[in-house]
Amino acid sequence: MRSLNKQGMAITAKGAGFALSLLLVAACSSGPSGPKPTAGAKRAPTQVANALCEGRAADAVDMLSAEPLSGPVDRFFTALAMEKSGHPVSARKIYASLMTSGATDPVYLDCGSELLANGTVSSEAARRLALIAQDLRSLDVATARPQHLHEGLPTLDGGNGVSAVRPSSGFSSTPMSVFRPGSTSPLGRWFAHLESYKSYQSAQENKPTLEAKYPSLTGYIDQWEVNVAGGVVRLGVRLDDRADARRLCQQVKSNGDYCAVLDTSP
Amino acid sequence: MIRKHALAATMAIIGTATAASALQQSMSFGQNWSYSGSDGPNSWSSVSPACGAGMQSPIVISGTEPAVMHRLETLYRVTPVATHNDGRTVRQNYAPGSVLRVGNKIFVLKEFHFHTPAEHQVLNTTFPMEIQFTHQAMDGEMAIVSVLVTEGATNEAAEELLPNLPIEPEQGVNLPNVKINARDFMPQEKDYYRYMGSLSHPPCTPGVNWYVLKTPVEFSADQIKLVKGIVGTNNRPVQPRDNRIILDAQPQ
Repeated sequence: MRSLNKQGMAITAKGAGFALSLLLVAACSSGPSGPKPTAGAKRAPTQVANALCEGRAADAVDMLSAEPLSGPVDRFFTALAMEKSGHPVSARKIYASLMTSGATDPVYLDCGSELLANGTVSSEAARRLALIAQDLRSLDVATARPQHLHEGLPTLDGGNGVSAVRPSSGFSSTPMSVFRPGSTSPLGRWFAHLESYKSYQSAQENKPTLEAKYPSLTGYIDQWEVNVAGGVVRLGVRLDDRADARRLCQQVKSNGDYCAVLDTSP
Repeated sequence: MIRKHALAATMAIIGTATAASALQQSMSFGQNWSYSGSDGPNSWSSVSPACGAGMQSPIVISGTEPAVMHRLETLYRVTPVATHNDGRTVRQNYAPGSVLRVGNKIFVLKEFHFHTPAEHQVLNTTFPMEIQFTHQAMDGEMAIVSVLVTEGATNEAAEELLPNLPIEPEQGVNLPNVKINARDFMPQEKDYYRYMGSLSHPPCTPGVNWYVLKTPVEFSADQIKLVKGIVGTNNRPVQPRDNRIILDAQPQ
């Protein structure tokens, strides 16, 4: 693996970047460094790892897509290759499903000093999702709206009859796979806040849209009326466990959408 | 047809490209490069190493990723005709006060210029011309809006400008009483492709925000021919994608 990485580094180097590449190769040759692979970790196939480390991620996608892939490890490396070939949005869907699957297979891949994966499939998928979200934000994707909208304030003008106040940037209405935590409860203290509306009627009318977006939450999306700027009806999921609420929000936010954990206790 | 002419020595700025001076450099970077021959695009990296450092422009727009993004708000004012032929293209310089707003980012419109044929491709489609609108933020960050041109009906806005384009290199035309608006050279529909690239000519400064509009505008065959007759062939070949993200911006 290490020799392959050196080759990858050398091929990556070109033009003025050659000196930098030499330094990186030297770093690779200086002996073991960095975190050790998780015990029993599965590495990417040699050719795939080579392609990824040499900046030929599109080739890695082709290799991985040549055969039907069903295992979480293969799917993880496919997503990684897609991400590294400039298709993070496509990769994100695979990562999200892997994260929610809770797959515990360990995976490992490094390209010299760059550690691309070292942990369980689900945890590494979550980490890659966070990195993708960061990359996309740098390109102005899914940028957050001003804070007052996050509070559910009715800031839209009332002239058009639209009463919905959508806190997020509305990243996508595409159905999203999220894992429903076990501690959901109609009497739960913690509220995973997804959207706000100016009236109860609007909230009820839009609840099916929200359920269509998060099919796994169908039947669990509740409303919470609060007295903010004249009254707001929030839609979200009530849970007994704060950590569960956080995990749910983490999944939603990994898609670029709004979610906030709120305490409903008086 | 490419014309090479010596620029004034004071105009030649050769050195380390900084964000703040990137635009100035882009408009006055040396004379030792052209679009063909021994000092053509293949040798630009000897003029400016950034040209060979990857993440360059233009590119082929393909394999895009859909994403909901901010609208492009072209808050442009009219400006007097102030054109300059630098031997490689013709630039219409823009008076201060016109801005491009993308979300919270504000870029000031500095100039626009022509490339024949177009530099960017969309999948396998090539275009006979491209107009690039160069903007710069207060911190030096650059944004270029690219408008692709197809052959079709006469472009009325261009009818105001084209007769005033300077034919000879180093020639300029200033007509304070003739006003144009850059917005008129853009389509109404401003959906776009977004990627990070570079200036498409030396010094090839990286870190440029590119917004390639999906909808082309029409110029008549005669109008395209006129521009090409003045600027010649001035398109840099498409550059490798280098695993970059190319976003297909979906309206909010």
